[in-house]
Amino acid sequence: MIILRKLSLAPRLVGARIRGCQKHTLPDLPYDYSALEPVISAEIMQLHHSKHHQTYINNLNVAEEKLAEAKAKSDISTVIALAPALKFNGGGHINHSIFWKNLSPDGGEPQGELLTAINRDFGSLDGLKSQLSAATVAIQGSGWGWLGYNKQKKILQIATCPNQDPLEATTGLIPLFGIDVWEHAYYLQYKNVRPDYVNAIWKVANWKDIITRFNAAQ
Amino acid sequence: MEGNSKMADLKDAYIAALEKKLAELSGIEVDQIKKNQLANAADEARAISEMAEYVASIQVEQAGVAQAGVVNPQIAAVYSHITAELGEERGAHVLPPMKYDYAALEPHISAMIMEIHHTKHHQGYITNLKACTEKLKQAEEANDVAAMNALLPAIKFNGGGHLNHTIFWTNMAPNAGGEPSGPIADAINKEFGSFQDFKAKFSAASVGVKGSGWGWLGYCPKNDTVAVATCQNQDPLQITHGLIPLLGLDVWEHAYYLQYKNLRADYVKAFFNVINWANVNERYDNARKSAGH
Repeated sequence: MIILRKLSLAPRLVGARIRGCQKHTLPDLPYDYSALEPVISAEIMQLHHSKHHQTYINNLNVAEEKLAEAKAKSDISTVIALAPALKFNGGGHINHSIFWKNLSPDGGEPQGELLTAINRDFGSLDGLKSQLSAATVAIQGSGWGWLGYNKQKKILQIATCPNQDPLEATTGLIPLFGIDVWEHAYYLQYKNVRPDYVNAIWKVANWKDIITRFNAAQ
Repeated sequence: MEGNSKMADLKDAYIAALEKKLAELSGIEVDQIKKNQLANAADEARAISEMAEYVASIQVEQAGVAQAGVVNPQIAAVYSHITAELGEERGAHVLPPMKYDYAALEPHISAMIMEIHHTKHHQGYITNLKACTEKLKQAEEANDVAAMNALLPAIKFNGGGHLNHTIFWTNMAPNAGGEPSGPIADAINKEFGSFQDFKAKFSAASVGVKGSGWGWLGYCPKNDTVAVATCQNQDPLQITHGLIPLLGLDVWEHAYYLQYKNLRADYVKAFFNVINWANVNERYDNARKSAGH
């Protein structure tokens, strides 16, 4: 196969200034660390929010800085090499930002069009709970269980993602409600008994937030 | 129509210019370039038609029809590695007893972690492995290859979990740790330059595992060398990377969270205080012998 030699191109003069990135910051929790007890302990919430989520944000900022440098130098190899770190830390930031809002000490109940959709797509609210819980408990290793919205088919769907793979980028589904089953999300309280945690988390599901996301996705 | 022929002229002129430049750069005459292109095209055409014939010949079986297809060899491999490590036949899986007290690795790894890790997590893998093995047996009796292969992820996960943790318990001991001596020390120095360099590399790899997984020091039978590797989840080292496991470090959060919380790096550092180098040497010795060295 003949390799076409690239005719020399004058190097494109990309602006010497690196785009001033807005650094990502930790979003405030909408409630106290202890607000979700006894379902999720204050200790877990504090570590989860101020350590784990913060670390994803720190590492995302570092990765994005490196990305900006690499792009400025047209160093495509480095741009590609950064992809896993961006997915992992960016996904971690996205997922946890959704998670804090998905939970609440008084999140109400599903109603209106969301409830109609739930009954249509899962038979009943209990049907949704048991299917999403089963799928989430069964995740091998670290990951998230999701209730998502399929915009093309206009239906609710359950999906799971490994590690911090973000739902929308991975599957195209709009995230409505996520359950973090990395062991750090429950271990201090539930130890190895992931099913107990997953069953309990429904008590703090923030249906108001889930309805908002559902409506926004229409 | 006129527009089209003008486009075509422009295109020809463009191609001619490219070919001329290519000839300049490569030193090959334009005519020869054209001949090469045609020859390559013919090769490509032949390759394409061979591929088309091959694809046409693939028989797509009807879904759900049991047939004597190919069982994924990884299934047998998982069980054979378990047998080699534990002497257990397929299906007869039990929790190996710990050779030291749960509290024996303190303060490096807490007794609570050791107990839950052993009696809950490791036991959980064994329970699920036995369930998978039952299903596998049923699928075998029905000659349902598709069903057998569908069990591979569960067999790898639970079989891998059983195998990995079995190795892990033997890799640690009370009053151990420090720097190795003997053949493994030589191998480490040869491969990594020094023990400190190995420690740094192994630690970085283990801390860097995204999500759940393991850090490993393994033996490469082909090259008669040792290497650092990582695996996700419970993926068994030998099936995944072809390395014989010598020393493993569980970096699933359950292995350290109760004590170290999010500080995986501190746990990895502490691990070096409990490494049972005698066991690592034994594994290394056996691995070399089986590889014929």
